Amino acid sequence: MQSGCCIRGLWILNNQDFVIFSRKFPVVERRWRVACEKESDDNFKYHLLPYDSELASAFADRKKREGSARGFGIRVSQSVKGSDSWVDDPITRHVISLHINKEEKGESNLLWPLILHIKGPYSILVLPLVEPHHLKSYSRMCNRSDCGSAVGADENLSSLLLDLPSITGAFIVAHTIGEIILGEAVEPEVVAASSPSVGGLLDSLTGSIGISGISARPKPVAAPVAASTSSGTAVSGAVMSDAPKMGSRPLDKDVLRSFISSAMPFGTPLDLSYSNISAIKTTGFSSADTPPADRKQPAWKPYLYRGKQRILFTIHDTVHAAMYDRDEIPDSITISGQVNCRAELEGLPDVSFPLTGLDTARVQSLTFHPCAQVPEHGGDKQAITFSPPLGNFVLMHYQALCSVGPPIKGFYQLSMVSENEGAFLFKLSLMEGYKTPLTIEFCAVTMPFPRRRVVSFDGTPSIGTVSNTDHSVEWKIITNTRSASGKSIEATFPGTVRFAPWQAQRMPSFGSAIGSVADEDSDLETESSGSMVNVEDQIMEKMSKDLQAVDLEDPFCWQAYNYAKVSFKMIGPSLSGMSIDPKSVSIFPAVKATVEISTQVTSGDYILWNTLGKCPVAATPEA
Amino acid sequence: MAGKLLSPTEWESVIDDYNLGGAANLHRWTGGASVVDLCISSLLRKDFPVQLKLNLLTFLEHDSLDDSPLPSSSLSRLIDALRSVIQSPSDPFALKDQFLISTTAIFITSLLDNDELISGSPLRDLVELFLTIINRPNHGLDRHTRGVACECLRQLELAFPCLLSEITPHLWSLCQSERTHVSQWYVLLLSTTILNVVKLKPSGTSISSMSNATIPLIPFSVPQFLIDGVGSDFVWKEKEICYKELRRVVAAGTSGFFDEGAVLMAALHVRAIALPYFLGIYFKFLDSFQGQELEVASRIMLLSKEPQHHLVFRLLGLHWILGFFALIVGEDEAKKRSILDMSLRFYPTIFDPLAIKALKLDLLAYCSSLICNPGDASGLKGVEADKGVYQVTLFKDGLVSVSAFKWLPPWSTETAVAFRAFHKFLIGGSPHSDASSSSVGTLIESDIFYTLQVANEFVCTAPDAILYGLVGRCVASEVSRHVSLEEVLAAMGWGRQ
Repeated sequence: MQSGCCIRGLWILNNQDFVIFSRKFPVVERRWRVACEKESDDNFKYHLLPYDSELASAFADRKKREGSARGFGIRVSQSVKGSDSWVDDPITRHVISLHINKEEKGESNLLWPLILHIKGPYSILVLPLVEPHHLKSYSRMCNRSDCGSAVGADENLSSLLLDLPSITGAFIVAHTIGEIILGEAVEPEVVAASSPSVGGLLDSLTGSIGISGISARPKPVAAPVAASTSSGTAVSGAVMSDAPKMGSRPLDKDVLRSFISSAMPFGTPLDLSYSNISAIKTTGFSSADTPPADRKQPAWKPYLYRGKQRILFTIHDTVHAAMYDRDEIPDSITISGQVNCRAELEGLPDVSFPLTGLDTARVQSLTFHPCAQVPEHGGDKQAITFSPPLGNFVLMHYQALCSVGPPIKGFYQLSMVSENEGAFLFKLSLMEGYKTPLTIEFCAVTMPFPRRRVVSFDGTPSIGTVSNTDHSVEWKIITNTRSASGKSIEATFPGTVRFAPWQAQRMPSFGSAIGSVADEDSDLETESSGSMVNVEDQIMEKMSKDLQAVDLEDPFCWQAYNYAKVSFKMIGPSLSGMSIDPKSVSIFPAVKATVEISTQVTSGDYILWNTLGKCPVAATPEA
Repeated sequence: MAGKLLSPTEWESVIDDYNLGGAANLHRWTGGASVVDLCISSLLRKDFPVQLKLNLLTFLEHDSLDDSPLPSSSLSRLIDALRSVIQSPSDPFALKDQFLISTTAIFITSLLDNDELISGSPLRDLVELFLTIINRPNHGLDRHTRGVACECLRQLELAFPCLLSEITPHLWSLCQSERTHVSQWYVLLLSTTILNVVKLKPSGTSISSMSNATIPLIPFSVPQFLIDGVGSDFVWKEKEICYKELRRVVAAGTSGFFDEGAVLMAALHVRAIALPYFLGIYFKFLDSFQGQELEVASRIMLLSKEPQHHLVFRLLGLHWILGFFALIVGEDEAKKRSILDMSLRFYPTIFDPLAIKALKLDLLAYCSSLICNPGDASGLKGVEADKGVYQVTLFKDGLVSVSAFKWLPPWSTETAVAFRAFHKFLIGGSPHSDASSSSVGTLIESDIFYTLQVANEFVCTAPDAILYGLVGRCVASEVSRHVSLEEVLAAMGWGRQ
């Protein structure tokens, strides 16, 4: 087994499949060459890493063969032997192979495992070092003439991946590079009571050492605190495609080169913290930066803070729910959350506090920042101790069940009264059973109709305002905190929505999954089906016929369902139970520092499925 | 043309041409002159922009991959240039750092291809330059460059094992002194050196004690055994180095050893990175972890459930579980049982991406295949009835998550995932390697097969193309050598009407 992660090379392609940046690491490549020469035979020998033009054309070939940049992922009728989708595994959309054709020699060489990360208009490819037998094994898997591997077969992808930790490292490299080239490498948001949000590492650095020129730079755009899920898909309902989108931002190659030279000078990743690396590049060190006398600075804290001391925590719950309002299907509500922290403390102190808020019965998982130590299974008296880095960081992630009832419950019904008109009814209750100080800051419900054009709507809600766009109707129930503090709210909204006449879209010329076009007689079937019970079934039947296949990265075909998506933000105690008592936060060695804690609860995928229509479900195991 | 100095614009074209099509494209620019020499002259020009110089250095690194190894004279010129940049007060640290890195990379590729150069002065000079740089612990301004120099030395040590073995005591003392954030880089260098000493046991080494250096740090000389090329025949001589001392150094540096992973993790907040390494340790000491298999599997399972991770890590997590099970299960009935006890945790959830659903269905199919032998299921958690019922429950429950395939158009991804699962459940009970013709009977008599028959209500509504897809998979299969296709189709009621 490889003991670490080494990168042989990396390439960035734009959306015209042109290599715009490449970097090869000779020291690692040299190791690969030696390994290949040891294991070479008639079918296997060492090949030079491809030049940019060779790589670009191999990438374009694969795209053509596999339907898209990512590929089919699952074996379909178009899958050819030797290609990734022949292996029949969704991960082959992320760990790909390329066949490099050397024109002059007329031979083809297989490059695997190439990590593919698509970010904005760019495709990032990273090639980690593996052992020749891994490559040979993969090559056999793509050429096996059977029906797709059985789970637990002798030579299988799972066992191969388990033996290759370098793939994980290479992915992290690819993601970090993706964030850097799109300028999205931002620190997690930490909210302070005094100001809406505080800056990042550079701000605390420049603030503490007084470099006005740098601190005057525009603040980075704060990323949403919670790692975003696929919620964007739910709102827009737009056709998601893995095709890179056009971006206007040119690639800053110098920034990238400088990052690579610090983070992985020889191809072995050493420290991928972009905020630290860029701080070191921009700020450098002065002779006044003396290391602490008694302790060693950890790698994650190259600079020490000087100035007024305080420590801030932001607890952020994100609620995901699938609400059915049906007897036979239970609603599902889960909370994922994180605690962000910013410790403006001098020296290298340890901070600790007890983890009392999270009820062990409801917590599904907890993970911590590497600077933290948590004694294993301390029962209810578990405490976390950490030596904080400078700047904002995510101290912990958690997943938990909701400690109270769902913040928004009720039902959504939509029924098509004619082909182009739907009658709907919402009956919701907000914050039922909730008490102050938990207050709801805003709450809105959106009905997306991505495949129909909304012409008009009728109806007045019992509370709030309604507006529509071409493809959605939005009901803003609560827009300011004052109107809704600390009491439960009943909200109803009956109405009708009218659509422009349905126009069948062209069938996809190739199915991206199963790969067969519809039966030619399928239209006939619909027209002749006089036994259709009502107009609703007819329109649904018609509409579902030209649904396109979604990507494997989507949970289901959103467009096949009618649903309403709830978005809200609440301030106050968390729903997961996660809380920190400022009095219980201790700092060692003891210093006088203010402790500020803020909590917010926002919606993730919070979906009300149309009670009268189809809805996706999953079986809940009876534990 | 030789010796012609290229302008910055010309260099940019050279580099672009090279990246696109390799060294063959270079001749028209260099006119046959040595690329390295041309680069070195440009690197020393004060009027060239720093960014271009950085590009030149990476270009040189790339070129070292497919060009023949550099002669000793070029390497010496490269070192001279490096030395002048390092000593120059006006050159920025970014250039100094990159110059150190690129020179090391070029040296490693050139020297490994030409053993004779190892004894020459360039390698000695290079190491000596690095040692001079790192020999200033806690110095303020150049701390990052010291870290880079440590990494360069480490790479040299990895390429030429035991190169630094004789100066290990000095590295140990530097490690103890350094307190800035680059102390980790010193620890990494020391640990690599010690690892090589322990692994390769150089006989000619003159380390007698870790705390008392017998030779000075500078001037440095390449150990005789490397020059003699006896590296692979090292014989351990116990007297020459004190085991106890080494153990003490390793213990003191333990935190440092683990920092290699920690540094990476610190940057990422992604514990996913730690898992595969942990699994690596686990497999090496499989016996020591006896009885903890389930805890390991549960932890990996959590990874796949944590939405803050990128989809890829969640997919990898599921693959690791599958690979892990395959590794531990063997013929051990108790382990099979504990895996089957976990099966409820593999149920797909509604918001799982289809890729995750597909792999969780694989896990369920795997569980189903584990109880192929009669009697396996007795006493299992959640198995009140016989194994057939259990298998069918797993299959039906799992499939609910993609049940929309019943009414979605045949090209939908849900359909693809569902039929992939059919296939996995079906062949799960009939391993490809099974050469016995009795597998026909086994397959058709299996409960899963029966369930597929029952599932006919929707399977029959699926277009022929999909059925052909599923059948097509089986046609090429090893299984089908023993299973008559007609037999399968007839049993399924799929024969074309």
